[in-house]
Amino acid sequence: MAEIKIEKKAPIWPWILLILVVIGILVYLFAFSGDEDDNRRDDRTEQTTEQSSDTRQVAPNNSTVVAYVSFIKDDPDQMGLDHDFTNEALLRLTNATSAMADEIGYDIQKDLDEVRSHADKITRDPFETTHANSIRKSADILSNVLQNMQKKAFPGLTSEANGVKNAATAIEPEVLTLDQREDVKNFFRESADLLEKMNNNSPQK
Amino acid sequence: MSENNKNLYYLDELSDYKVASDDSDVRGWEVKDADNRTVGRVDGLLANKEAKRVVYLDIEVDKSLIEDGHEVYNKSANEGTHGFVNKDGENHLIIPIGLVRLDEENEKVLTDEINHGTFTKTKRFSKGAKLDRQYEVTVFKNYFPEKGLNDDELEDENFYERQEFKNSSDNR
Repeated sequence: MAEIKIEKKAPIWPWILLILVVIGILVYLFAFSGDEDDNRRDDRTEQTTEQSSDTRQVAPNNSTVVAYVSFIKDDPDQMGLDHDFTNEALLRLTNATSAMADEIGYDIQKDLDEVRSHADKITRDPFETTHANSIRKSADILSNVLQNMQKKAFPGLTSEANGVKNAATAIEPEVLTLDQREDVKNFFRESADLLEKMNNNSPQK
Repeated sequence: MSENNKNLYYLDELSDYKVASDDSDVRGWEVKDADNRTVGRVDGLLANKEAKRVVYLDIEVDKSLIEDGHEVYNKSANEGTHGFVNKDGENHLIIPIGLVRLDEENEKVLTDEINHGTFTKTKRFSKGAKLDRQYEVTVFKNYFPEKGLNDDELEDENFYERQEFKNSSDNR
């Protein structure tokens, strides 16, 4: 008649062991390549951030730029005999330009180093008559840089960039600074105007 | 199972055992008697762990068999032949594996040697109830009234080696 045998089931522990070994290997691999993964993840995060700022069109709203704009617009009559104002305005403008360049990923370090050396000259020799020359040179560099930045990232601000350029050109190198105070101030105002607009508009990347 | 000294277990209790891959797992199969009437369905397999084979089929009996059993009991009780009464809810019985033949094609368990009348008179138990040796003796005597079986034989370690629990081709 019938016969039904029974048999031991295949033990499950070899499978558990195998799974544990596989998990162990995976953990080891992940731990081993953890740093690379992190870097890659960071890169991805940065890319995502950049992409999202592209899509959302966020204005830079940089604090250094805001500080320069405030400095120029809040105290329009501050420029006196001392050259500290000119120097400080130049340095602040330089910093603001540098900050904005950083915001849009534009390298201007070399240009800015030259501007800073001119700004230094102005305070080091307060009675030197060639200040206007230094200011003009700085203004030329900065207006060029700003115009290049405008072309790169802010195509809608062409007239403002031209305004800065013209204001820079208006500073005459051979005339004493105090005699062309308005022109110098105008250059700073035009720059502040351009930088403020850059700061409040979304750069194109 | 209560009498573990015989290594008798429901296969469901033996989590590390299963029906051998070459044999049929008959759980759920319909059980037919010698008269080709339905006895019930196989609900469980009672295995001898030492011999590593099934020795009893636990059958959940068909309602018709229970109803027929009532009539038999009423008649036979008057004749004084029975010492037990199958109560309501007692709807399981066991069949020694040596008494059945498997129709694997139709998934049926055939009991060529036990007729409907014998099954109706078989002592039953409720699902999950403990099966003791006395029950085995009662059932055994019911199926094989011609074979005298004393308690000593039941205590025998080789009880399940009897042909009633084995493939007939091995012993006959």
